[in-house]
Amino acid sequence: MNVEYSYEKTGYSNILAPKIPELTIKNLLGSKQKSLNVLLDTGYDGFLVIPEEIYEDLELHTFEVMEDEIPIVETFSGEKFILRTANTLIEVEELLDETIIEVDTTPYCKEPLIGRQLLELFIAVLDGREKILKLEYPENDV
Amino acid sequence: MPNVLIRDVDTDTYTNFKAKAAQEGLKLGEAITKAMQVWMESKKTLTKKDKQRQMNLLTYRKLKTTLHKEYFGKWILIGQGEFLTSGDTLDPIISKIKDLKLEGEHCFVFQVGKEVQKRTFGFGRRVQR
Repeated sequence: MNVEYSYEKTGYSNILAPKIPELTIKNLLGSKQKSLNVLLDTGYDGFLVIPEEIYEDLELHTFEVMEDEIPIVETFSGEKFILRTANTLIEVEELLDETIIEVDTTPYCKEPLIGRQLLELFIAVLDGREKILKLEYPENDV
Repeated sequence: MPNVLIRDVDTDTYTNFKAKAAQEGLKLGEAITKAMQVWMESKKTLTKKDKQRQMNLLTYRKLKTTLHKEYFGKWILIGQGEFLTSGDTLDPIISKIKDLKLEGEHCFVFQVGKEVQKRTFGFGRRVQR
């Protein structure tokens, strides 16, 4: 499966970034779910970071990863803070069936971002000239 | 962002604060914003979920050595301040959460000893302090 995504900015961000239009996130019971438009942040090496409101809405605190297992996060400027992390299910339309990943949250996150660990599930081509992000999930992995 | 005039600030505290902010390379407004955020955070009262989290954390701390010795690699569920179940997969954990109607309550669900990659936010521009 191979899907191309817009590289242009989304309506709610002033920063140019590619996006994946439809990522569905569910809690492990499958009882709560939400569709997210997410931005790709290649400087973030987790799977997915979401604002606290979404984390609470999906009741992800029921599936939290022990904080000892989650290292303190460091930003480019050297600031450190602790994340809350939960196991969750995600699905990407036309591309990825239900998969368990770790989702992070912090009060400082204002919009959902996907990071390199999620990107590493795919073959990703960032075509700057065409302003397109191409994601491929190899058929033999399905 | 608003410009504010603040009266009745203690002179010594203000002088020291301003010097410290300069030393850290922060504008006074930035430093005061951070100080206000820290102060507000410290005033937060604990919610029911926060209390559950603390209880679960305490249980984990007590059991940590045993878990790493006897349950290494297994999925663990800690909730209601107790070690509730373990399994080789997530299935028994999910069943237990359903059986005990724990959805919405704080629980820890994790694989003992699983290495979690360190998180770094490259430029941190959209993860704002």
